[in-house]
Amino acid sequence: MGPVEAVRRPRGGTRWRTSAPLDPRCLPSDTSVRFLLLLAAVASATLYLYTALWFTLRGDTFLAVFTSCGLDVGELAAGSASDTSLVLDQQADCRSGVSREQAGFALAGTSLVLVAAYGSYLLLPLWRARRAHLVRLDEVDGAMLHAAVSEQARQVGLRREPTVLVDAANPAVQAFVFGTTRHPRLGVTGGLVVLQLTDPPAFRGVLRHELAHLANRDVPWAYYTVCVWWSFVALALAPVVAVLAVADLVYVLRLGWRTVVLAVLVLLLRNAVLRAREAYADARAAAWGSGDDLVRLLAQGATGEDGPPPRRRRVLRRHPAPQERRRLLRDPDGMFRAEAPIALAAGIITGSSFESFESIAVLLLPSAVALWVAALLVAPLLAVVLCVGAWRAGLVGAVRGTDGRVAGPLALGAGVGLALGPLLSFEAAADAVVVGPVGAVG
Amino acid sequence: MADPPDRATVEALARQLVADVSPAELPLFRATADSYFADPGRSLSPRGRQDEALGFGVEAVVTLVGPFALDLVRRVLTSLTDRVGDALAEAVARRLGRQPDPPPAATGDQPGQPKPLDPAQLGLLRTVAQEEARRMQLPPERAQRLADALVASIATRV
Repeated sequence: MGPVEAVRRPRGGTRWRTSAPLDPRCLPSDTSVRFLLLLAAVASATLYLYTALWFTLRGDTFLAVFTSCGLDVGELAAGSASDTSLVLDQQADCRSGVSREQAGFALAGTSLVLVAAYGSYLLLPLWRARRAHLVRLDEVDGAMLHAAVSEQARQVGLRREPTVLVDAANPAVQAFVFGTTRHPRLGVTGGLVVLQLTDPPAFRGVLRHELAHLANRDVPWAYYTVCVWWSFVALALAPVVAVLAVADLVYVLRLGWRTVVLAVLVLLLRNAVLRAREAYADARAAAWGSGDDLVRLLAQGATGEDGPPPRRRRVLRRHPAPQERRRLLRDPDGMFRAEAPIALAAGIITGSSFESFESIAVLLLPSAVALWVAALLVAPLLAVVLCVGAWRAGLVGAVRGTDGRVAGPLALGAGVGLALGPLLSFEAAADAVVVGPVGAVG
Repeated sequence: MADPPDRATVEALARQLVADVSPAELPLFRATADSYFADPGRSLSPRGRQDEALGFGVEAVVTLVGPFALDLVRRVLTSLTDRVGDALAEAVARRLGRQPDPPPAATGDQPGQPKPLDPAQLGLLRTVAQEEARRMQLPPERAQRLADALVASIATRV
């Protein structure tokens, strides 16, 4: 514990501050928040893409039903407000069959993407072990390695010791945990095994970093994150891109840019989840006493200056840059900062998914109820993102004796996101639907 | 072209080489040999296989001698056995394979035990080892050291 000192406020009173390092794990982690955001982004984007796909395939039918249930403008103009409402309800009833088909298609597509991701997540350990040519060393050859892993797992209090597998001919200094919570596995490369004898502290640092993933319980999240991205690409993005490739230019322009923006959003959130888990594993390994060893090892893999990498490159990375990891290991306060881009993403996802959910809920529920149901489905996510962000940034401000003004960046990000989000909904692109994919309809 | 060298012979010679040059790799040797014989090209990649997304995330690499030792021994044995009609090369190959010398034709005696390599045989072995080491994807200095270590390892073994 570092010293605690009193600081006089300019307007009177006293506040306390300390230079003691904060443990980033003392509050809910960014990894879990980002993972929730990713799932919401995938669900929202897939709803959009499958709705677009349905209209591409069944647009003619929809238009025929829409036309046959069409409004009589004269009747509407002559009637009272209650008459108008009645006519609109009748029209909605008239085309409810085709609307339900469209909503069912979008929901089925979204379920397909999430379930397929779960299926590939279950198969991933087998594929990963096969791809990396992992083998189990026998008792004699693996005695020292197995003993080291057992000892470290015991020291850090892991309930389940991972099975150790080796990619013997790989000179990279690498390790990774995979498998399930019940059957965790640790893959290590030949380069790391050699490090056990040539640089034991560095070896221990890498080992503790990997065991920290198990302690943080982020392994299923990380692998599901990877799987859900590929599932999204294969089962949602690819079919729509294929359709857009042969579609009318107007249709492509209306739907295409939204598709690109949503896909990029999902991609960036995937990267953000993977980066966050590494920072938290480093933090836990540092708490176990390997911070300096990790800093030294990360310096070997780093290129360029010691400062943070350019932001453009940072968001595209699936793994934090060594410079950034060293910086966070030396100063964990950086893990508490208010992340305006995350708030922006949360706002966009909330705004776009609200429109999608409402359009589906209104098919099943009275419109006033549907509005609330959609809001209650999406608003908690934004609330969690903002509260956790403000909580974390507020804490560091409080213990360091700074103002801790955290609401500004978060509010700005969320506000801009909420304004932009509806533009990414399918409803905003509805004109394109009426135009049709090859310009033949309407 | 002669038959490819016997795997057991290659492993035995390469294991000795690894023990001399990089003993820290000995626990990995059996698994390295399996990997090498399954896919030599993959095992000899100098940068290894990184996993940016889910691995530890450092691009540090150590030089593993094991795959290159196996490759060098296999190359040297292949080169020696390919020199059909070269009595010196055949004799060296027999020594490395720990095969007994053929009995002298005139006497019809039982085959003799392997003898230590003589200076001419060691010279040939050194030349072949250096030639083959130069062909591997290793820095010249490292290739030279590995070839020298192989010759030294065999000279003290046989």
